[in-house]
Order: sequence, then C-alpha cells, then structure tokens
Amino acid sequence: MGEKQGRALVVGAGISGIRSALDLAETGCDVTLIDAAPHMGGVLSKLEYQFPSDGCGMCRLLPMADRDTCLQACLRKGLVHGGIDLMLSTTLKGLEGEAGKYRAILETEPSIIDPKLCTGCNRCSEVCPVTIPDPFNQGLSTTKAVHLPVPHAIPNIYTIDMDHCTLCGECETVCPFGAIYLPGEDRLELKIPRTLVEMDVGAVVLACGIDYYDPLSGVNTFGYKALKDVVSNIELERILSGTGPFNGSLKRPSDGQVPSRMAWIQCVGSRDLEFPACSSVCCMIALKEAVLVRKRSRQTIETVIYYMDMRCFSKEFEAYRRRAENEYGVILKRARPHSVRYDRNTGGLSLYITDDSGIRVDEMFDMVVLSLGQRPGKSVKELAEITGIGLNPLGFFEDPLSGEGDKTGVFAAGSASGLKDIGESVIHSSSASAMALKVIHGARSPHDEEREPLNGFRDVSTQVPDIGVILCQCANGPDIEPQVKSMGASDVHVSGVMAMDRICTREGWDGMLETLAEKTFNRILVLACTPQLFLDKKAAISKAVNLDPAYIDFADLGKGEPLAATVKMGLARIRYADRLNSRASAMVPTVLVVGGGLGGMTAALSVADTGFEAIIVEKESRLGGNLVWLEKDITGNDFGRLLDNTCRRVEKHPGIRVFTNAVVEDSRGGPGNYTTSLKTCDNDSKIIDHGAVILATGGREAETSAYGYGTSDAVMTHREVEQALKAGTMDPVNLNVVVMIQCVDSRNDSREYCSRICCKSSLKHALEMKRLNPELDVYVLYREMMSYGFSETYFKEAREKGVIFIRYSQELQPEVLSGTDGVMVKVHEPILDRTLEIRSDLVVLATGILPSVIKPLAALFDARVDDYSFFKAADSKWRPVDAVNGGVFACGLALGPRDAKESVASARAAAMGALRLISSKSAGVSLVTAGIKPSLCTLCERCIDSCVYGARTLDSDAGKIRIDPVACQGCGSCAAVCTNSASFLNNYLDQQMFEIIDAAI
Amino acid sequence: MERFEPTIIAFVCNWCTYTAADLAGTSRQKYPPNVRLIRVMCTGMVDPKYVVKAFLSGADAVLVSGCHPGDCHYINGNYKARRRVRLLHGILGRFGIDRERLRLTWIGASDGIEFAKVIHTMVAEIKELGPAVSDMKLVI
Amino acid sequence: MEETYEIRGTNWLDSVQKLLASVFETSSVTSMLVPVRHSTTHVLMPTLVSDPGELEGADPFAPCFPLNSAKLVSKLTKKHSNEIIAAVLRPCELRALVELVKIKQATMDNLITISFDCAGAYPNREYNRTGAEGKAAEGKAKTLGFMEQRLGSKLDDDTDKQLSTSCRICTGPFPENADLCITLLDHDPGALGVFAGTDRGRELIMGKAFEVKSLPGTRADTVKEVLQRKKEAAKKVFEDLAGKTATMAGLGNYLASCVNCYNCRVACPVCFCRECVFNTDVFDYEPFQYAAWAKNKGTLRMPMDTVFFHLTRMIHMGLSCVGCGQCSNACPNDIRVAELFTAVGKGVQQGFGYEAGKSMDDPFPLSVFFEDEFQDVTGI
Repeated sequence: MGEKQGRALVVGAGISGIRSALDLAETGCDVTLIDAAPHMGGVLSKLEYQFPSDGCGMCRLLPMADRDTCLQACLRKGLVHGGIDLMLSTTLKGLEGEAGKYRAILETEPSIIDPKLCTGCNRCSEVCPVTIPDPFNQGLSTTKAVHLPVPHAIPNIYTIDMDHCTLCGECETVCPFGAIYLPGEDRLELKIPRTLVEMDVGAVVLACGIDYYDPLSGVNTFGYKALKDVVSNIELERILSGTGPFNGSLKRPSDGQVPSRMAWIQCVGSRDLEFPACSSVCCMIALKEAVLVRKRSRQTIETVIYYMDMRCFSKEFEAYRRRAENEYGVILKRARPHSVRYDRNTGGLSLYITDDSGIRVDEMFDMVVLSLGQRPGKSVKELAEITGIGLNPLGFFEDPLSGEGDKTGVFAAGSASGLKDIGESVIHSSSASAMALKVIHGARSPHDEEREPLNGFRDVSTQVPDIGVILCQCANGPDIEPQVKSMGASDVHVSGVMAMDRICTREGWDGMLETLAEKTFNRILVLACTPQLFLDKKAAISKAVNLDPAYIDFADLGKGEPLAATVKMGLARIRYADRLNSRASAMVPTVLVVGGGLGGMTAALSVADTGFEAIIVEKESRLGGNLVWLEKDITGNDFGRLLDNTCRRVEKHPGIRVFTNAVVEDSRGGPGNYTTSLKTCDNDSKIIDHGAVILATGGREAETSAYGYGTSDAVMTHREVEQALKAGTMDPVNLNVVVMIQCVDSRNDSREYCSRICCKSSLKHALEMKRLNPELDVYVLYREMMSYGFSETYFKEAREKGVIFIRYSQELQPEVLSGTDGVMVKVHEPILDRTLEIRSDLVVLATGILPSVIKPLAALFDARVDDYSFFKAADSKWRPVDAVNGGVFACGLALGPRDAKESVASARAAAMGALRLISSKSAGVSLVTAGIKPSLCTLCERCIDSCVYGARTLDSDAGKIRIDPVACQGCGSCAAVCTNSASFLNNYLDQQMFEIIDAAI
Repeated sequence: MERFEPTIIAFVCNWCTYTAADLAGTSRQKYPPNVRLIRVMCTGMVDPKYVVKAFLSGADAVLVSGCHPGDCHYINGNYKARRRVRLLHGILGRFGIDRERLRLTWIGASDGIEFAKVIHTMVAEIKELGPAVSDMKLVI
Repeated sequence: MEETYEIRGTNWLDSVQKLLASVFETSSVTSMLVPVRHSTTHVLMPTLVSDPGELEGADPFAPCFPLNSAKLVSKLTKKHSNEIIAAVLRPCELRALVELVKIKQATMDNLITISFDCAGAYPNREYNRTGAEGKAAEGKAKTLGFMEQRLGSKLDDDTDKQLSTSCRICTGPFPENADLCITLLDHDPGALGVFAGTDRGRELIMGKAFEVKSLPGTRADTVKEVLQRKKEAAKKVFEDLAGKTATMAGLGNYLASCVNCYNCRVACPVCFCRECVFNTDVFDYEPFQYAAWAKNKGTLRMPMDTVFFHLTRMIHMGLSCVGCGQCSNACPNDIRVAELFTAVGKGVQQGFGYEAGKSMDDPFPLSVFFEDEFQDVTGI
C-alpha cells in the first residue's frame, strides 16, 4: 500500500458514475465502478424522456476516440468497457489511507442467482408463486419475487427480492442452467456468499446520486398513496414509458381511463420550512412531462402546472418554456395548492387553490402529479462517515469551491452534492474525474502489461478468409449440428464447424478456448443463443487465438429467425471482416485554452496537473477576466483570494505557458492534431501545435439603456454596485431605500434566455447591504426568482431580514423616473392590486450576461455558436461542454451564464474532455470507420456535406478527400450518400450488406 | 394452397431500435418469425441500394427503423433516412411496391412492445397484399 | 426594361453565326463550344472554336444531338482555369450543367452560356442515316429545311415524325437563365432575337451593333401553346409507360433486352460517377454464388442486376434528370430508357418541390433536411 495507485474507485453507476468512470478509463486509468443495486443506470434507468428532444440521447456519453474499447450499444443495456470493472450489488464499507494510496473495503451482496450462469430465460419467473409491486415501475405494476431488475440491461441477470421470497424452491428446480441456489437450513453457505474485497485505489469518486422526497413523511395534504390518481413525477415517467405499467399508454392508475385534465403541483418537499432549498430540476421536469402529455394526446388532455417560480434558468430552458406554452398549450398558473381531495360526485380530484386576492378558486382534475423534491441519496450519510467528506446542512455532500491546499483523494460527483439536472451532473462528475485524475495520473497501473497492443496480433489481412464456426449446442435445444455442418460444408470459406456444449458455463467456455487455440482460423463465428453474454468476452477469445477482435463475431440463435438465415447472415458478415489500414497520427499532448479568466485558468491547471501541457492565450494584458472586479459570491467565497491563488498557480506551473495580449488568428487540423497561429503582442506570429482546444472566452454584464440608466447616477448595474462596495465608494449606511429590478432586457423576444445569476447577485447585494445597514429598505422587483438549488436559502434569509419582493409581469413593467430628489420607481403589486410608488436612493438593474464575441473563433475550429451567440454544445445534457467534433470544448461564460463555482466545474469538465481525447491511443483505429477509394471518387463533396463531425475534408492540392480517423464516428452517412461507393464504411461494405440481405431471405 | 408467409427485412439501427428488439425478446413479446433483423449503425447509413436489393432478392416488405428525431446517436442520421425513404417511396411506388411495403418507423429503446406491434401489423398487412413481385424471373 | 435585339442574317444559321462572332469581339472570350459541321460530312459534333473564322461551320439548330454537351463543359470547367469560354447549349444541356455545378463537377465562373428556343432533334440513328453520304452543304440545307418546317408549324411536333420522343415531351424547350438567350419563335424567317438572361449577359450584349427590337408580340401566346401541347404529349407517354411498368414484373419486361452495357449512364450528363458502382468489385460475384442463385430460383437471367442497375440509377439521378433523352439515344437495343427515367424523374422531383436545373439556388433535395418535415413518411 505504500505505492501510489493508478486505480480509481467510482461509487455509484448512475449517469454521474458512468461519466466519471468513462472519463478515467479513457485517460488510461483502471476503474472499478460499483453500485449497490443489482443493475446499473441509477435513476436514469427509469427515465426515458429528456430535454431537449424529449427523448433519450444517453448513448452519446460513450467514447468517441478508441470506440472499440467500449460496447457500442444503447447505454441502457449496460456499460462494457475494457478498462472498467463493474461490480454490482456492491457498496463501499471502509476507506483507509490517504490521497493516492487508499485501501477500500468493498462488500458485495450474496448472489442467490449466479450471474455467470443466468441467461435470462425467464423460466424461474414463470413458476414463482410470489407477486410483488414492481420496484422498477415504482410499484405501479407487479412482478414476481424473482425478476429482471431493469428490462434492458444485459447481461439480463435475474434477481430475487429476498424480503418477499418464500423459499419454495420452484425457481431453483426449473432453472436449466442451475444458476439458482437458495439459502436453506441444510445449506450452510450460499454458492456466492457475501464477500468483502480489499482494493488498493488512488482516488475515490462518490457518485451515489439522489433520493426523492417521500410525501408520506410529511403532512401529505395531497393525498399521495391514499388517492391512486395522485402520482409522483417519477411515477408519471414510468406511466409514459413503453416499459411502464400500461405499456406506454397514459392511463389513470385507479381505473385505467385516459385522463382529460391533469395538474402538476410544484415544490412538493422543496422550498418549505423543512427543506428550504430548491430542487432545481422539477420545473423543467414538469414542463417536459406536460409537453409529452400534450404531444401524445394530440393536445386533447389539458395540462396545468401550479407553481411559485418557473425556474427555467439554464440557457435553452426559457425557450422551451415558451414553446410549451405557445406551441403545446401547457397552462402555467401561479398558485400554491393547499391540498387535493377526492370528489365523490365526479370521481375526480379537487385542488384547493386560492388566487392572489385570496378567493377560493378550486379546480377539478382527473390526475395530479406531484413534483417531488430531491433528497440526499440513501448512502450519502454513510459514505460521508466512511470517507470523511463533509455534509452540508441539508445532508448532501459538501461541494466547496475547493482551495488548492486540499489533500483529499475523495471527490463528490454529480447530483450527490445536490440539486442538479442531468447536464449539470455530467459536468460536475467530469469535474470530479479531473480532480481524481490529478491524484492518480502518474501511478503505475498494474494492468498495463496485460493490455494487448494491436501490433501483437497475427496479420491475416492478406489471407483468404478461413472461417471457423463454433456452434453452442445446448442440451436443451434441438439438435442443429447436422444442419450447421452442412451449411459450413457448402461455404467455400468455412473450414471447420465445431459443436461445443454450453459455452455459457465455465467448462464449456474454457473448452472452446482450448479447441480454438489449436486451430489457425483467421475468422471466428460463434453461434450462441444469447450472444449478449459474451460481448465482453471477445477480448478473451482474441487473446486465446492471437487474433484481432475485428475478425471475431457472434450470431444470435435466440431471435426466432430461421437457422439458415441466421447462420448465413453471420457468415456473410464475417467473411468480409477486416480493418482499414489507416492510422491516426499521434495525439499532440497539448491543450490550447483561449481566454485566461477563472474558467480558462482552471481548465489549464486541470490539464497541466495531469502531466499534459496547457497554453493560455489571453487578449488582455493580465489574467483573471471577470474575477478581477468581483469581490465575493453569495456564500462569501473571497474572489480576490481565489484570483491571486489561481494566477499564482498558473504562473508557477511548469506545464502551463501563458500568452497575454495575444489572440488566435487562424487554425487548421482536426481533433488530436491542430496547428494554430497566434498573434502575440508586438504583432508577432506564433505557431502552436495542440491536440484539443478549450474556448474560455468569457462574457460580460450586458449594457443597457433601460430604466433611465445613463441619465442618473442613482441607477446602476450590479457590476457597478459590486465594484463600489469593494472599493468602499458606496456605503449602504448612507442609503435609505434601494430598489433592484430583475430581468432587465432579458427573457423577452430580443433576448430570450435567463442569465441565471442575476437573482443570486441581487440576493447577495441585498443581504450585504442589509448586513451593513439593517434599517435599509430593499425592494426586489422580479418576474421569477431564479434562486435555484441551495441559494434558495438566501432567498428565505432575505425575506426574513425584511427585503420586500414584488412580482411584476412582462406586460406591466416597472417605471423609473429620475428627478431632483432621487428616483421614483412605480410598480404594480399583484397581490395588493395597486400601483406602488417607491422613492429610492438607488436603483440597481440586473441586466444579464452577454458572451464575448465567439462565432469567428469557434468557426476556426469547426465549432458552432447557438442562437444566443454562446458556444453551442453538442448536447446540452449528455455532452454539455463539447462541440460535436470532439476536439473543441468550452467552459465558463462562453458556454452560457453561470456563477463562479459552476464555471470552475465546467472548466474542469472541459479539461477532462480534452484529456480524454489526447490520451487516446492513436494506434487503435476503430473497426467501424469510414474509408475511401480515391480512384472512384469524383470529388462531388457530398460526403463532406453529410458528415456532422467534420471528419472529411478536401485536400485540393492532392485532389483527394481526406478522412480524419479520430473525428470519424463510423455513422455511415458518407457511405450512403456516395453514389458509387467510393466512400464506404468498413465492416458494412456494400458486398457484405448484399450478401447479408441475400442470406436473410 | 400453401398459406403465403411474407419475408420482411428490417434494417434496425444499432442504438434505439435494436435495443427495442432485444427488449421485445427479453420481455417475451412474441413477434412473428417472418422478420429478419439486419443491424446497421444508423438509419442514415441505409443505402437505398440495400432496400432495392432486398426486394430484388425476394423480400416482400422492408422496414427501416431508428431513433426518434433528436435522439440519433449521430445527431441527424434519421433525418437523412427520412428523405431517402421518401425518394424510394416515389420510385418503387411506380412499380407496384407500395408504401405499405417500405416502412420507416422511429422506435425508442424502451419501446419493445411497440416494436413487436409494428412487426405484427406489417406481417398481417403484407399477408393480405401478397408477394411483392409476382414473377421474379426477369426482375433481377 | 430588358433590352432585346434582333439579328437579320440571310438565314437562321447566318444570323446565329453573326451573333456568335460578335461574342468573340470586345469580350475576353477565348474559345467557344458550339456544334460544328466539318466540311466533309453532314454530321455535327461539339467543337471548341477559338478562331471566329471557323464559325462558318457552326450549326446549333440542326436536329442533331449526339451527346449532352454539359458533360463536355464539365471537362472544360471542373478545375479552375483563367480562360473564359462560351458554350452554346440546348436548354436541357444548360439545365444539366446547373445540376453538375451543384455537385462540383463544373463551374460557371468563367463561362458564358448561350441558349436558344429548341426545336428538338432526331435520334442519332435517324439523323446519321439520312444523308449517310451527305456532305456539309446538304447537312446545312437539311437544317434550314428543318427550321422552316418547325418554326412554321410553331413547334407542332405531330408534323415531324422523326423527332425523338424526349423532345416531343420536353416541357422546357425555351432558354432560361442563360447569359444570352436566343429566340426563334414568331420572328420573320431567318431572323432571331437575343436578350440577356443574366447580368453577365447584359454586359456582354451591351454596345453590340444589333438592332434593338422588342420580341414578337405573339411570343408569349405561342410559348403557352407549345408548352400546352408538350404537356399533353408527355401525359400520354407517361400514362402509356405507367401501364407497361405498373409492376416490377412489368419493369423487368420493359428492360428485358438490356445487356448491361451501361451506355445510358455514360451518355447521361448528370450521372457523374467516374465509374459506375455496378462496374466495380461490389458486383463481382463468385461462380458458386451464381450457381446457388440459379439453384434457388430455377432460372437466373443473365446478365444479372439489370433491373437493379436501372432502379439504382433512378435513385441516384432521378432528382437531377433534365429529360434530355440521351440515354435512349445511346441504347444499342432501343430500350425506351429516356421515357422511363424522365417519368420517374419528374415524379420524384415534384414530390420534393424541386425542378432539376431550374436554379443554382435550389439545393439538391437529398443534401438538405429539416427537423420537422415529411411527417407522413414515418409510422405505420
């Protein structure tokens, strides 16, 4: 244990854990990924509809470079990556040591069902006498005690709910593979008992996720569980899902009828006395669910959302809200329903609601959805004790704006530190991986020698195909050996058909490997009933016969298709299996960071701390960006100190080079290999070679001319207030009345997006001013208070301290009239239903954030900007800091409005993305990738236009199309577009496809 | 007279629809054995030549199925497929291969039941319509 | 108001030669692609003329259409050149050229296009046969006779049985978007009109010593009549075709005498592939595969992949088909390929609201796509 460890432990295999594990594995670390459940996927395994497509896109998390190390299939099936050891039903029980040298104690639950033997045939479930509420569908449907925990997962290993199992033994008897071994009096020990494993790891990432508020734990005025048609948002997601209780039809749980009117109640378990924080995600979830209901019902079901503030604070969320209201007719009503009661006359649900004037305006609905707030994950408390990570007052992992003195090797990732949506969780978990990587990057990984280099395999590229067919002949199935042998005999490339017995068993598998090792086949086709079980075993076969895995394939006998078709299709596919000769040139181990603010500096540090080089290009004369004028954030973090510390670290770091007074002029190349020219001070040109680029060009407070700004000294912006307070030129003691106006020039037709931080800034300044002058009257005029997450507690504090919040609408904006004796602010107060006139000394405008012009810069690297001129991420949820092509990243304000802590997380995530790319082994070009036959190409350039990844370019000098093997993702669009197949997709060649189609019929 | 059993070739995308097909299998959603699944990486890589080849080799119907718009692993492959299928409808439709015989569907990963339903419906329809080509001797 | 000019030579050929000669003067055009008849034969071939004196043999109006010159213009302009050339093209050749530019096989940057009211042409075999021993003078006389008859009948196709079917059903015989457009209808015999279709053409024609004269007042009506007649002719032909090819078996029959020579694809101007995929190793089968197929089906029509080839060609170039008819011209076995492809082409183009060759600004339908479109294509 004295040696520094290169293995990372990721606790929790939900989306955050998956992201962290992949990050670390792609940079060459060995990763152990554990989850307490018998399946992976976390909460997301139950959620299928995500913003912005209202569908799924989870598979975009998978690696882009070195694709073949990871199973290329829907991520809901599972994560199978060469560098990640997945241990299910496993929890972290103890952790000793220090950063870089931990000893972790992992406990794995006993397995009644042996995962190595279970094939998912379902026979046990059929005979099980015990019916239980199905936990996957939140209890809305039933299943047996022995069941498949998650429908998609492969291997689809069954599990037994031992709390309800009657130990009748039927399942054990009927299992054809002997996979079940129930506990019993005469059985001293289970076949797979509870095991404790000690593991040496260098860093630990805690991605244990969240839990949901249980309405039954409170007063439950909404009748949850008492009234069947009052469901939680998760339950609604299950109802809407194809694998849900009603197979995707929207029906009321009570009587199976289609509802005609549905209501959502927001903030159930959030923003209340017991949990004074905002769960951040529920507003968007409710909007999305309402839109889905409207879409699915062709706008026949009425949807009403009752809310306090509609918190659509991320970049594209406000636009989504508008679409929900305008295009889909989702009705938003500002109210806090008191309770839900069953109406005996109509059989419906009555919501007790009062309007702004206090009048009862009860409404009737068929179904009510409770937007439940988030709570700390079940294991968070225990893990905090084990690892020493602190908890915040609400029980989530602490997530401080970490100082560089931290010596920890344990990092919280994703929503476990609270109150994030998927996009934020993914960013945060990449940020945690970056910090973990810093700890373990140099350590030697004990598995390094075992990774087989591609060059070690036999070179069979020039040989005629010599196919060996392995037929898994199950004793349970019909005897198909004679048929398969005869098909093999009539195929000129097949030189052997060998029947094996049950390769799903240890003996069968080893027997097969032994047999194969004696032969010299250069293609191997394995016919088995559930090939999904073996997808991660391809590597084992490949090693045993010293054959590149590209030449090994499986065919599925269990699909119910005729045997002849299956076998012949399998043969057709494998006959043409081959790798392209193209090799990617080595990745340049340097990252160019454009912009030296907090984001840029943090990204550069993350890159350099892991042994790569970072180059910062900053157009001003000093580093720091906006941090130069900011004093502190709402939690009191001292930005001056942060600025000094960060700048100092950057300047001292041997791995970082800084160019100030410099800009990027031009660039060419692709992911892994860019050549960029900089224009430095004194007009010199500098050429930089780098593998990735991070755009951290930042943003600024928006200028305005609204509300008399510029005509009166009494009207200021928040930046000016911050600077004045910091410099001491403003003393709140001298003020009597301050009015703050939110959403200036924002969330309207000309600037649609919410700038996210302005409400927090106002709360920060309001509280600061109140602290210095408790007698000060502060009014905040708002449309929506976007104090999401833990900052909601500051909203509460501000109200307690007497700050008055007045809601105004877009139609009836406040007026500011500057006169000789101060400023008069007129605003219509909706609850009093009167216009107030507030005479104030100071009016502070929250004007929002604009990005620094980024479009031309992004275009140099083939990246895009969105409609608001911020960087356009490839996917706001699954690839939130990446450009589509995988070589360009962005962080901080360039990505979108965010506060300092969020900027830091995004910067680390961007650095992590860049590191994933430049760490990839360049020799491993994926099997499925595009190729070109130049002699057939007429340079029509249709392939170039069809590639979303920008992987194809025209080399006009050579008159050829060039393919960048790193950028190419093997989608095949270019091949389909090319009329004479000059462009083709390897492993999906025309000849191959024709033969497969032929064989199928 | 022997009952006509149509053969349907289904080009399913590796990400969404293939998962739905697997899911149909594991959740015991039986669908008729008339379909042959051919896995492709994306519907956007289904070359129209494959569809023609399927019909010329004797298929009675072709299904192309992939991710819902917005969910494509490769961002927009399914939009390209949609235009190509439209073109194929226009061409093959003139020669008696009607739109019922060439279907494009979006089936998400969790829609195993939907997948089985689509296959059932197609098989039933094609059984009614009969073989795609009556006399294949010169159709090659 | 667009300036239009009139040129009155001794006959149509003389008039057009005057116009073409003027293009050489006072402009930087260094050579011109125009059908030229060598003095020893009646046959015409597109020729790149750099000496205006050679324009004496130029005859764009002959009913001779050996190949679609868009392919030749592609060769001349695919890569950049500093030379400025002019090309005299039939409207269908110009449309084909527009389609070729969209796929980067040609450029119009340094090209002057000249087009004219097209009276149509005879199929190659017909034209070559008549006057097999003929010489240039006879050829020229034949052209003038053809012009007289055609323009006299206001392009009534029923009065000339030798016209190729593609020309009969062509609904785009009038020049659009060419730099210089030559009008022939309703002028006095031997005279022709000229107007500029583009800014570049305007610059070119300005200051030329031609008489400014407005186009014949009856032109608009005549054009309408002609298009109406051709539309009806097309309708009849397409209906007849649909009857014959309503099923795949019918299509197989229609193409029964095809021998996979791929002449039609060589002749087609918008079939731009350097080598057709059907000629590559993709379609090289092993002997045992042929045997297996024959065993499966009982018989195996050879050569194989004939219907496959034609269907694929429809898919690949149907959206670009300009109806020039060269495919039928090229077929050694007289299969009516042009009618088939023109019908399919028009059908699919209509389906996408696209007209091949109409405008450079219309993107090729398979090169663009949108999130919300064609919802009716999906589903069951």
